[in-house]
Amino acid sequence: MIKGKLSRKTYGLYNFMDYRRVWPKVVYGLFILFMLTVVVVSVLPPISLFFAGFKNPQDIYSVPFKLLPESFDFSKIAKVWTDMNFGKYFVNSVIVIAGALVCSIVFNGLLAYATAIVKPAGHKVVYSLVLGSMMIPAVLSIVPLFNQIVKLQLTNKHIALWLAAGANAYHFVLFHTYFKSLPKSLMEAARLDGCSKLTLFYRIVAPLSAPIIGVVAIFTLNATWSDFLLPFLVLKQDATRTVMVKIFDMQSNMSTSAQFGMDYLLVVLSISMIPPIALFIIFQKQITGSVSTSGMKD
Amino acid sequence: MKKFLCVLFSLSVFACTLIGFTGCKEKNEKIQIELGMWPEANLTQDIAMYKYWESQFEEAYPQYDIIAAPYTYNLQAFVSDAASGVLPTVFQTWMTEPPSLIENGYIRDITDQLEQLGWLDKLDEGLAANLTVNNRVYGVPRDGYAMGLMINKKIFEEIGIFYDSDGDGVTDIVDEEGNPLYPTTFQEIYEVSQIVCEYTEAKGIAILSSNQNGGWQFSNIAWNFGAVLQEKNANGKWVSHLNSQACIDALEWIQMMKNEDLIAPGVTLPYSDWYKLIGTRAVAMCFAGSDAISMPVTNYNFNKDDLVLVPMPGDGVHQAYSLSGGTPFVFSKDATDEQVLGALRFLEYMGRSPVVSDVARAAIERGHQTAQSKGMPIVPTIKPWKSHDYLAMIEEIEPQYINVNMEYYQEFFDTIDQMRRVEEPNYCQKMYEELDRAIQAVLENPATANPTALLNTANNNFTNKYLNELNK
Amino acid sequence: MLPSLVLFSFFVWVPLLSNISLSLYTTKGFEKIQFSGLENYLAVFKDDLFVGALLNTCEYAFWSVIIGFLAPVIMAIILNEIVHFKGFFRVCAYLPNMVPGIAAAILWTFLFDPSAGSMVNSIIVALGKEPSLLIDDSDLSIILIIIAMTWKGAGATMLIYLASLQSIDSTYYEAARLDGANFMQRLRYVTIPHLLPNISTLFVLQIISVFQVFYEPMVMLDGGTDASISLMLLSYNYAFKDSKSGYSAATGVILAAIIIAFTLLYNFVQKKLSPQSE
Repeated sequence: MIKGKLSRKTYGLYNFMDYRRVWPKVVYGLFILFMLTVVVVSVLPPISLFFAGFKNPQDIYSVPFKLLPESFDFSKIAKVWTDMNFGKYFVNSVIVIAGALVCSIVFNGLLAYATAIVKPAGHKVVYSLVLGSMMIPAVLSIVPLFNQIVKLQLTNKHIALWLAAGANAYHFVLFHTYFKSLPKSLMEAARLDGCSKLTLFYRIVAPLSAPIIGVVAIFTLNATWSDFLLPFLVLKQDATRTVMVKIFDMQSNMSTSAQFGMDYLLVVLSISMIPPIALFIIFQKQITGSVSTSGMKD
Repeated sequence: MKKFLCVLFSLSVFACTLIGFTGCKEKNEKIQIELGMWPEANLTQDIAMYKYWESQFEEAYPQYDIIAAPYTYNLQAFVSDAASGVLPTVFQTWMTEPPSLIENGYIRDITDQLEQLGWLDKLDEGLAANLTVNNRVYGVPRDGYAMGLMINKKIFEEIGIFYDSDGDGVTDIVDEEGNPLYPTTFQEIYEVSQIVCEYTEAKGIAILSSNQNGGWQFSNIAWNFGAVLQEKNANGKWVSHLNSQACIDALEWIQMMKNEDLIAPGVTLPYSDWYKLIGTRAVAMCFAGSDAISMPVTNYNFNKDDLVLVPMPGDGVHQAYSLSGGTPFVFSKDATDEQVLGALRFLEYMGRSPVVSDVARAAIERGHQTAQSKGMPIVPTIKPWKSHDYLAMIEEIEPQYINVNMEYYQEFFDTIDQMRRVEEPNYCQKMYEELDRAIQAVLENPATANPTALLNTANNNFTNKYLNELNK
Repeated sequence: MLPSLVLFSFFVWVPLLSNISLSLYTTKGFEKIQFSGLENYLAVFKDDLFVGALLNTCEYAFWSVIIGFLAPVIMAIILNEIVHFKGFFRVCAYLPNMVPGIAAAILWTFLFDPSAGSMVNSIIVALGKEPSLLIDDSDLSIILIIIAMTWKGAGATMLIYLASLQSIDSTYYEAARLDGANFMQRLRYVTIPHLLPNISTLFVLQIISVFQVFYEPMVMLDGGTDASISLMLLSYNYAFKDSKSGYSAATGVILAAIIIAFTLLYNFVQKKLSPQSE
């Protein structure tokens, strides 16, 4: 007879009734097996990378393949970190992220506030223009954008990346949808009480927006940490580079004139995965929650 | 109200930005020279050496200010670097790059400055060839290289090809009568590779095939099969013969090697693969430039005493050549005459100029000492300058620092002056690109690939896309 | 609102328009030289590389539909059936999504290395087959890139389907059960129809995003091979490798046109279909 969770399953293709029979139990076992495979496929690659970082460069592709290195010498991580001067790139990434957070929340939030609540003349045009820009990949216009940035002498300036975060259609939409969902009666009431649009924003909308600001903040954090193309084109001096740009730089120099072994690249890669994964572990609920509701990836 | 605030806010943001980047510009009366060849942060010994050179230089020439600006030439980034004006005054690139850099105007003409210093007629013509367009010179070679056959001595010992022929306790690469034990023809490479594959885990040889390195190596192989890749015909037009019988023979040799699985696995092998494969004992041989033999040692802790470099093989009929070029220092298009002059003068303090002086002597010695303490193999170099006093100076210093068994390099350096040959004159990189494709096709489907058809395509593409343009 | 609009103009709208205008000029470096009409377009269509890239991009789209699109649907349906360790499975499946894009591409370059000692090859050998060239094999490179992209993206898409599945009222299944529907029939008549709106939207998003595949081939194949180069990467290479920004802009415009055409077609079909389903 069936016990435990299966006996209480009331939803889905098979429910507790079905599980009284044998065949569905077998299928259920297969399902579990399938998901276990998914887990292995998801988790094994980063782990094997982490392990390979401890190997000597000449052993990385040795036959037969070994998952584990000969020894775990954790001082190697510190050595790579100092040898590659990685603290510098890390700080740069943090600077870029901090500015991007502010810009993304303030600019996208304000624009969404305007289009969703204040609704000045032309707000519909603006809304559809922003939505339209979601359809066209921003990377398509990278050449002119790069040109503009060069002309304004914003190369090697982190501010270019901060401001770019302020024009993110996805985050705008997140804000817009959220503001739209705020109860209209609340606004009306406030307006009747004589609130100006500004005080309305400070008193009513802003305090209510904490959850959405949190979500946008998390996404901005992750996206900025992972962002590559624009930082790569803007941050040309080594001293200004972010972690991702440096990693790409290391990778593409590997094939020509590397001054370091393959193991260094692997160690640095492992390091670069830690912050987003830590972020995920902390804010798991918010991240998975808003992915499923907003239909947004990345 | 809200709009007003917004405008105010936006203005303040932009004002801050403006202040942000006007504030950091301060006037410096010295002529600033950004050195792109300055070593990366992790190479502490090299940095110490550069700092020493810098202090000496700035003492002698107080009008210059040397700025460390480590710059690694990178295909993906270079054009945007150049467009955003962040190129350092002087930087190193690869021997293959200058023609396209010159064509696109990213690097500048330094003929007048070389003239002024009296260095122009001291340049080695062969090495300066691909830095020269219409008799104007766009860079100076850092050092020269010539291609040779690199061998993992250990593997050759294991399979019994190298042994101690003169009984002095050291493995030799020539027999009792001084005849080479190493392969001197492509046929011998084939035979040796079979033995290597039979008795060891390694493959016979590495054949590069991507990012133009395939064509780079292949053109040397093809020459040694007797190929003429480019020539001017009777009407004064340039023609290419990438599909000549000699080229087909060369590609068929690769095909035969691949068919018997004697070549390192992979279809697109970039430059780094030769030292990765040698360094990890995955192959017994490869073709490599004489200036880069330290790569397997520095990147893969390969034992420097196990390296052997011998002359390029031939087909036993035609003259064998060794492709030769130089790693160049080039100068940003934005560099002023003054900056170029300063950067050139600094080369003396690095021991890379034709100037013979105590400073140059000390710098060369310092360079060797640093390389020595890093455990790098030091072998004779191919000299980028041809003036007698310079050559005499090098001949005097170099032998003191050689830290490898010269027996393993002697044949290469003895023959190199007769074998050296510079790259083909026109659109060489584009030609390599077309050849890369043919090589990749052979490596991918060795059983079915048709070298003749592949090289016909390569020749047609090269002619239609580039040579016709040139002949207009 | 105004500063935000300035930012959107600077980072999104103006570059887009200048890109269109750039595509109509001959260029030197990144500067416009002379108006040349559609010459850039004609030139790229004559370039073998462009035609190759166009075909490659279609191939990416094809495999992305086969692998990248189906995987999350199946994962979601199966995960929804599971009651043990559900949270754990969900978290693990989503985890790859947090790995930064460049890092994921390099990670898979490392796993797909053609040397016999790479992880994937060692699995192939363990299964008793010859080691494969993997990413170096021009017949495989696109599929492998799609697998790497699916590895990263499937978890997130799965969550969206999962949320939708959880909203299915169990009475539908009850009703189906009473009608004697078996497992496959319940899947066919209850689950799939419920997912359909999500499926079609995500299908379009999937296609749009795969048309923009760019840094995966760049990273995984050293700047891209003839067999793997995508339109997006070609556009980048034209501008930032060959210094032909006019070609780059033209390629960009063509790519945008394809994407827009596709979206419009989708909207059109959607409108045609929706009255019947309601």
